[in-house]
Amino acid sequence: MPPVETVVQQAPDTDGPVISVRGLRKRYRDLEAVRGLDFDIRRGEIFGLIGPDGAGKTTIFHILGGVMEPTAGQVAVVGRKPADARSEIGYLTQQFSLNLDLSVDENLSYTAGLRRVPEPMVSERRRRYLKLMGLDAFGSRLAGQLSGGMKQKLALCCALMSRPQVLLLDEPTTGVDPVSRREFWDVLAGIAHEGMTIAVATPYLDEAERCDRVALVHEGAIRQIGTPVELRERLGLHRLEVRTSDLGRLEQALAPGGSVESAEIADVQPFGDRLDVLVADSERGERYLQSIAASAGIGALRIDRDEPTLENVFVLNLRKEGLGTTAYKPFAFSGPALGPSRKTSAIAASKLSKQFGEFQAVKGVSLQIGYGEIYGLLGANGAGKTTTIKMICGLLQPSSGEMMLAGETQRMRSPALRQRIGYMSQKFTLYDDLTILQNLEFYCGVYQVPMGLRKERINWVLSTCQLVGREGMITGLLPGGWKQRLSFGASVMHEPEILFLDEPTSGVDPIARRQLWNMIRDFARHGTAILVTTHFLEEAENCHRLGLMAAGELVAQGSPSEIKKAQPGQLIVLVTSDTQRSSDLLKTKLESWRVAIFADKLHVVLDEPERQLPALVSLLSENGIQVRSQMAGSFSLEDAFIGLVQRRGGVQS
Amino acid sequence: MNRVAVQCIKELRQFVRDRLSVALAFGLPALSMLLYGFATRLEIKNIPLVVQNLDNSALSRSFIERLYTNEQFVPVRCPGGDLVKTVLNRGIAEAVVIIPPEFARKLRAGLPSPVEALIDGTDVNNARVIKNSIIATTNSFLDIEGLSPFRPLIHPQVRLWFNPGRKESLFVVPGAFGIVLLIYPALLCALAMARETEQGTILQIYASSLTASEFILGKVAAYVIVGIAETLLVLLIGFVVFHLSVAGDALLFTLGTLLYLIDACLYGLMIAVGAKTQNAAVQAVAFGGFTPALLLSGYLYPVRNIRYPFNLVADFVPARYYIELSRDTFVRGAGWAGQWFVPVFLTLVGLLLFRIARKRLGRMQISA
Amino acid sequence: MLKLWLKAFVSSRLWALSQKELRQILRDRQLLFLLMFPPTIQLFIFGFALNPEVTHLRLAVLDLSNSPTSRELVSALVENHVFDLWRVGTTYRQVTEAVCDGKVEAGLIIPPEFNREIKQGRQARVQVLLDGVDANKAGIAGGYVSQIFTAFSRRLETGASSPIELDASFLYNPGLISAWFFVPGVMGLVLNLTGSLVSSSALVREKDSGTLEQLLMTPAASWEILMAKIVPLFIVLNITVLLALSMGALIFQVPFRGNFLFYMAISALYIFVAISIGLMLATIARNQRQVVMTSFFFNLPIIQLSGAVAPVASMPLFFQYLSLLNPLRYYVACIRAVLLRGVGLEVLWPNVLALFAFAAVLLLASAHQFRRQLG
Repeated sequence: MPPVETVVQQAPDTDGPVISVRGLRKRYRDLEAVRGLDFDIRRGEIFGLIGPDGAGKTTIFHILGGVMEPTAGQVAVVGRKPADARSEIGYLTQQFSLNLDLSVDENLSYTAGLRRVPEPMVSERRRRYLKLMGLDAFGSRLAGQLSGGMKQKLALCCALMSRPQVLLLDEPTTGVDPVSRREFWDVLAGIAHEGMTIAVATPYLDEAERCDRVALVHEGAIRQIGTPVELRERLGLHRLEVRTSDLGRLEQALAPGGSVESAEIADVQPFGDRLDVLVADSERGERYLQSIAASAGIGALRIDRDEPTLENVFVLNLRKEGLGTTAYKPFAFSGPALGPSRKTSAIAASKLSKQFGEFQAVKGVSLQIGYGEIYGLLGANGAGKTTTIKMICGLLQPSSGEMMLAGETQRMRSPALRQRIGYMSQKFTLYDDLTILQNLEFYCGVYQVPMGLRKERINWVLSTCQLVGREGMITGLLPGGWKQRLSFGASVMHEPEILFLDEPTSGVDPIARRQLWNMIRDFARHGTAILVTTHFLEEAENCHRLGLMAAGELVAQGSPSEIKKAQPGQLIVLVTSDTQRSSDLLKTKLESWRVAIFADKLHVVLDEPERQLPALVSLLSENGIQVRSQMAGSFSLEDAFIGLVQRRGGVQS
Repeated sequence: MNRVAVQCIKELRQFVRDRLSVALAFGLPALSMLLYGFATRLEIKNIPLVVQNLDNSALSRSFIERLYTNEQFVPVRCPGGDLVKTVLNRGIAEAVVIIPPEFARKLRAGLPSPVEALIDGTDVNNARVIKNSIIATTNSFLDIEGLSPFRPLIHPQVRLWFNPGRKESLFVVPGAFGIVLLIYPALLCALAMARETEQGTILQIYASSLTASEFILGKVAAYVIVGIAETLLVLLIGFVVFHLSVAGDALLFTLGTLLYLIDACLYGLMIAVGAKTQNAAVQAVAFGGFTPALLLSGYLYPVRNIRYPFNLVADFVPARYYIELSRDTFVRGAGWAGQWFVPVFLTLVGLLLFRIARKRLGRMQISA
Repeated sequence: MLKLWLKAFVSSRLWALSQKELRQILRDRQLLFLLMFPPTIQLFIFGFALNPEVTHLRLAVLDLSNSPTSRELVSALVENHVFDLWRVGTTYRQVTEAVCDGKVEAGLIIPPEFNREIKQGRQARVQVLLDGVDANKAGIAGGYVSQIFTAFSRRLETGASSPIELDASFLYNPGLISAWFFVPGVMGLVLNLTGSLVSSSALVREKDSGTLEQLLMTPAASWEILMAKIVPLFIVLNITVLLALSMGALIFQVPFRGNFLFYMAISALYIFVAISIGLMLATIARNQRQVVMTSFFFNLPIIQLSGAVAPVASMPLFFQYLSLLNPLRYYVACIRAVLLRGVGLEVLWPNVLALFAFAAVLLLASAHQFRRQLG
């Protein structure tokens, strides 16, 4: 018999670490997934695990959760072996934590029952947590019919039902939209504050900024561990946000192998309307950049100084290990560049609508995408993006509206037309039970890639995915991010003129993500029209134009800068001594969408900053929070997104 | 709340959610019962028979009339020619009876006059029955026509016990219970288990410190409940459509049925624990459960006809014992005295299956 | 020329699609095992286990006459192995109880005056109790009893033979080996089951995992996708047919009297039918559980009403008519005729025609349904 619940809750080890790991190793048949880990997690701490795909994060969680035996080493959770401490652990696995054919309430009572939560507490906690997650109206809805964000919140509710001391969250927000993601983390911060210990893995490094401590894992070992601030400082670099009217030429000038090579610059990352440049010294770096701009004939640069992000930490640290350094091999196009010269639109939709029974999934969406253009379709989970894409590419018959695809308006399903289209759907598009090579051969075959080119194309995909030599591996064994890269490769081998990418980077690590976007841009330059959806709004900056969907409607369209400019109100960036508590406090005075946490900063949207701000600042200081800096900022795409979506009446409607 | 109950309730909820599956879970046993009950006829009737009468006398015509009096044979016109080619090869009739010339004259004269029968041996059972009934007809023909040189000295008073009307449904329907109540609960339970592995929700169960025993019992309990509902339906069909009535001990049957359902679900679960996909689980259950229940249980033909080494297997097929119990309950009626070992055997099988399932689930961890 | 043609084929979409299906089937060891192993074992079990012969019925005897004649009567019953003497009882109750408890299938009670009456040339009565639970067996056993008694009377009388001696010969299966009957039936049954189950679940799996959507976005036409699903399974099942055939020949000495090519051709035709049934099912079902259940729902009557196990002619009339809609019925009839009777198209053309009709209708319907569901 496991011990009675009350005894467990009083387990008196408040001083020592809640989770302690010493010399942890795990070996699968021919692969050592975890190679000697040592770390402690303290009570009430949010501990982040970040690392590239296949770093061994999931294995660590399996072991901490007591569902897998380590090969060697000691692991203690609340002072016991993980398997014996399972009643004290809430575990959100990467996928499928829920029974999708049960309702929200049924899922909750099932987990509560499994974990022996006494009946009166079940209803009390259910009320409380569902309210906390904003799910209280959906008690009888089937879990399978919830949006991605709601599913994860429900899974978290389930994990919380037994009031465990420890929460293990394995990529809980993959595929979840930015608004829901932020709400999810607000909840996490709240429960950590109450003393819950949380270990979380995430590919979103802006989320990792909200952890108390972060461990960077690579090849089964910890490479860096510390608070986000420590990690950033350890990098010893500064970040410059560079804006200019001619970003493309500046980027080319700075690109590795381009005209300039310098020890001054550690990293360059393009973001739609700006370049992030990491430099050792801000002063020298700035001067250096200006000089390059001048010599390249680009006008004066607008440069803002800032601290590096965790993403910078991630990328630079792993680059030292050799990840992402292999020169990116461009795709060898066989045909001539289509170029944006073509007059006609590649994709044109006018007043597309889709009705599913009573539910209007898409309402009057009109958009046009030209050749060579990257068009980003953004929106919360359930906003109708996927439905729209499916209608545009002919998988779904629209209820009303007209469409044109590559000049065709009628025979949307003809093989000749399909031949010119590439499609990567949200779910994994590869056959899990075939090898990597067999999958690629298959897609070469169905898309009729000329025999002579097949080998070359397959090698290209393998090399961009760093899978050369492992092509005989079963695809199902690959980590999710890797599968995504491979799927991308599979969908472009036939040089499509039009490319549909539905969340191509979901679950992909930052380094691979950059590379994926490099490839996407390559195709666009060659003249491919690209329609992409994403939950990483930083990436969305890479798009030439964006469309933002909410509740089935296209609520804003334009270039990233246009969309940002169109935002009403003023963005105030606050840096305080306690970001989370500040956010909670400010939300009591303002509508919750006006306050958002960005890493260690708070973004507050105010309509009349001059009048409102002093009151808010004094509210914070009254509560013992020190406001370190306050300044007007420009809207990021994410701010714009949150504002637009939330003003439309929230994510789920 | 008891965790076994929690697991059980969750299974039932998931089961009820999928309307089509629920419909089929009850539609299938009902369909099976009707099909088995109505369409499985071992007794052969309406055999197409060609008679070539080379005698054309009143006596020979009366002989032919005799052949067709009961429903065993139906007449088919004789096409002439080489009868093997024109009749048997084409499958127009299954037997040809040739009455020789001078049949009547020879018989009247007390001389033997053999009749020739060509019987299609493709269907072995049919062939044997055809031969026997022609012989029986011949004997009675001789008796009635007074041509028999001897009187039957022994008159057997044959009494058919338990089933004086020789209703085949009394044999087939209780036997079908044994098949229906094994295969469908086992299938549902196996699918539920394999789905848990396939979809990865098993990981949540591993993480919840639920023990293997609790997990098994919860799942099995749910599908035993479904099985009980199926049993009630199947019994209802038995009583209403096939006019079964309880001849034996209802309590013993209830106990035996419950144990049998538990065994079936445990079997499905045990098989599915090792299966990677639902598809494989189904194939394995169908092959490991359905085939023996249908073929090695004495459902159609006597167990004693099974040849070595399969007769050894048959001794361990639970369906065999359950079918015996079922036939005893609804037809023979010996009760405990004749069937006491059935619940004992089924309990032993259940314990064995439970142990294997628990072992295969291991320590409720990912095995790697 | 051939080389060019081959090259065009290898680079075609259909080849890519079929190759993928074949690889998936070959990759799935469990499935492959299940495709090859159960048919073989089922063939074995059917051949060895299903034997409708009525022999070795257990007999309990109460011989109150206890005379040489009565003992001769008992040995007459036992000598052909129709009955096995289980025990000789001493009281009436013992015998009736043995029948009641199901310990024996038959009871014989010979009255005390039996011998006297025979000696006096009067008709002697004996009582035969038969367990009627298995009505068919009881009926046949009853027939045997009267045959044996008639023969016994004749022997007692003068040894005169019957004036009408039946000269019966069994064609096609003179030894009446039951395996010869069941083996072709099982082949049909197995083809139907595996063909429909595997094809339906392969398609549903693709629906489930979202790869179908990806497939539809490729230039592959829906007929190519369906064809590709059919072809590899078609090949595998043809191998199964050969395997079953050689098993039947080697182990049960099932004769092969007809034309081999004709046999393979109708088998191939039937494999198409079975796979089409599966594809049809896949368009009905939404998930794995549903597809399994629906395939049981359809396969059960298909097998029951096919004549593979029990002859169609003895079914109630309604079911006989229903079985006309059953493709398996035509196939089983065909292969039995080819194997045992050695006939060919000249006799079986109506069956072959029916199978063609089924294949065409099912294939077209499932292709249409498939396209409609996706369009």
